[in-house]
Amino acid sequence: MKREKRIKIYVAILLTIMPGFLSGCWDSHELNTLSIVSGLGWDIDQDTGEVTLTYQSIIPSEIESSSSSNEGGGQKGGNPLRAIQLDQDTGASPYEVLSRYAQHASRIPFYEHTQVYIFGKDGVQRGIYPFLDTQARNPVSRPNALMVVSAEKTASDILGVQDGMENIQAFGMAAEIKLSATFSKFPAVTVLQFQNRLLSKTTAPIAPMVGIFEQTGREGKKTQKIRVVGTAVFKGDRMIGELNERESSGLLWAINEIKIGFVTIPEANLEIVKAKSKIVPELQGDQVKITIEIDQESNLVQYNGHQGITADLVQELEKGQAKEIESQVRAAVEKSFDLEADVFGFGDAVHRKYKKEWKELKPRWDDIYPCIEVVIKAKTHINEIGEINQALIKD
Amino acid sequence: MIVLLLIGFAFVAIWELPALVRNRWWREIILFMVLWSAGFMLSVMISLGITLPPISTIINKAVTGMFGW
Amino acid sequence: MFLEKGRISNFQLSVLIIGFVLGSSVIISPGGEGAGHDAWIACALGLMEGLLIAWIFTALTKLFKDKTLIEINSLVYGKILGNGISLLFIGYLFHLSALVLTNYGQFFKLQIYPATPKTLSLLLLMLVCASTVNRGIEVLARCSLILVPIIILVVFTDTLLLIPHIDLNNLMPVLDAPIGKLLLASHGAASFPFAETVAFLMVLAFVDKPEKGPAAVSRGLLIAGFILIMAVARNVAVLGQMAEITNYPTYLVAQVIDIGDILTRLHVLVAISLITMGFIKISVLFYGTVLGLAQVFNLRSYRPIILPVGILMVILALTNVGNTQEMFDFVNKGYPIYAIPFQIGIPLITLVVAKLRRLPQKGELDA
Repeated sequence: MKREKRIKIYVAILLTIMPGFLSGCWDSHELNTLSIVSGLGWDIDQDTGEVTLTYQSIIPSEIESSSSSNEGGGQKGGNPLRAIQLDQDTGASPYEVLSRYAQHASRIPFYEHTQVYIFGKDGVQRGIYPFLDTQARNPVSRPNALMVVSAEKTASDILGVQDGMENIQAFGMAAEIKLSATFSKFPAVTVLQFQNRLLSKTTAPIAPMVGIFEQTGREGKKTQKIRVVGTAVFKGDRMIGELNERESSGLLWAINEIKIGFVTIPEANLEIVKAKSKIVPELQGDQVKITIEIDQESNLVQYNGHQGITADLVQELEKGQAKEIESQVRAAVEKSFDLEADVFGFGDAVHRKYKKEWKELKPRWDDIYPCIEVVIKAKTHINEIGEINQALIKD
Repeated sequence: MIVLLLIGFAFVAIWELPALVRNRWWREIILFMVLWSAGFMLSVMISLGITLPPISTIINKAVTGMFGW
Repeated sequence: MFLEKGRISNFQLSVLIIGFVLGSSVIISPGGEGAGHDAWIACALGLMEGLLIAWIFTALTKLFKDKTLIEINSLVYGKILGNGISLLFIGYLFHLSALVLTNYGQFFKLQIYPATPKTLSLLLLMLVCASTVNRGIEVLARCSLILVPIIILVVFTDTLLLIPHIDLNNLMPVLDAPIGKLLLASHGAASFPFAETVAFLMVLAFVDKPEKGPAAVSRGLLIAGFILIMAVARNVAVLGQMAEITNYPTYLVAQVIDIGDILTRLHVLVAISLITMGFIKISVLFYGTVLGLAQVFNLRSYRPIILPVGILMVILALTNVGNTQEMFDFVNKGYPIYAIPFQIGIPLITLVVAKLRRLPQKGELDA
């Protein structure tokens, strides 16, 4: 009897103490003590190396009220800015900025939902290493967040723009970038991809660039919108150049990141259905030869001519497409030679195939790179020509 | 902190010892006391801030030292 | 022999071994250091070396059925020398257990509970293990029957969810790492975690069909080995070169999972895997330690010393290393060598001496 009683007492004590442990009291964060950072802007001063961080945080209460006050949906004036809040601070290092942020913020920043990291133009030319190290070392940041370079002077410019449909601007920007990647215009680069390009000593990291443009709406009201305007090319952690729209498309063609989109040639417009590309390296003695093989399927969506569609015409259009793709890729290749940056990953391709030779090629890659012979072979196939096979206006 | 340690270790002793003494399991009691006192002493040392030798690091140094790593 | 009255089936043994091997390797991937993206090859080679080592120590148990290593040592070397060697082995088990606790504590302090005092998380885990060990090996085996399949499911789910992110190019070129480094890394993978199954020398005595014991051990090792190889390969395929420089690749890889913005934050599952598999590994080592001590000192039961040993284990886990980097240094450099005498040395030499002395003789089997 005595033993049973003792056991009961011990169990009672245990049951009283245990819930205290189960709740993880030391580490609990209540939602209303967190400020959820949707986008983080980094500006590094060229001369002093001071870091300015711009936090775009979400105000949870405002999201609900603005969506309920949006009648009929799509109302552009429904106070989109209210859902986010910008805070900015400067310091000698990112962590000093963080402690200054705490001086005027009522909540702790929470980065698990950060979708976008934006870097100001000045900062990327100086080098964004402080960010890269922080990001890799800290357990809370997501490897899936997007890296973005601001085409305007600073990152905070971009984060401050009230864009159209999305309540939370950074989420909207992330969606925009991913959409432009889907439409095969510019690459979307996650932090993980950027880090991997950085770690590979020969491949150049890239990131899409976002800029502001003005749109004149009703009654002459000017609104600012952001759009993806180019691809930034890095060497190490510094930006050394950019690819324009055409060159960016060429890059995407070469690295097998074409999803949907359109090819425009003088005679027609074609919609890309499927595209695949392969980078085939070849070592001929001391000369590196890369063949980029592209395989594409498309549909005809607009034909500018007045002829009927014949098999010959289709073949000609296919050839025209192939030429256009090849010239886009060629433009990208030329630009990358100019910048001496291996954005395609040619080095890695050679490494994968020529293990032994790579050891002695790698240190000289910077010199070898512009002398690579690049052959581009595009094969296209037009699947559908649409619903009509005669032109509407006949010659 | 030391008070907490005292309570904790006393708790452990109270939990185990009575049964052992009742059955006159002397060997077990000796081993128990040896381990218990070692634990108590070491915990007190930790809470007083005395750094105890990092065993794995010592082994590491000894082993890699032998092979000149 | 009445220290442990429980018996476990061969199936339970295999499952227990899987849990043990997965142990802390769900967090600290084997074969990483120096092998780069060939880590999965290092892991596979390590598995083979582990199987070899398992063959050695299961041969010992086949020779001496129903006896734990402590008893075997006493028979082979005589009481005094035998107990001395046994104490060394027990020390190894104890240290290893503390190492797992240290890994666990460090990971939790870094990723999950940065503000909670390490002592507390370690104490809680240790208490759970202590309570399980208290009830004997059968209970532990039964626990593993539930926990291990769940975690295997988690690992496979993780892998499936990551398929869209896998880029096989990351694994190429194959056999890129210099052979020397690769072999070193694979021996590292062997000593952590595969050959640590030598701890089962304390458990194999309680299997109900001892002849099938070695087969069960191999089965468990193979299954766990394949799971780990798959996990390591997947980590490299997803993370590319980041896999080499991250300390906890499985955790980072889980953060990449992002299905429709709903299935995110799955890295919590990784933490759960560590808790459960760590629990099994620590419990097995804990069990080996207290049982061993009880046998060496001829105690009537190992129960009284469970708590003090546990507390000492936590103390060792806290003071084991000065900082996290020393821990990784030790695991990668010193441990593979330090473990050799225990994983290979003791079983092999004991086996040889036993054969030389033509043991066991008929009478001694029923001691």
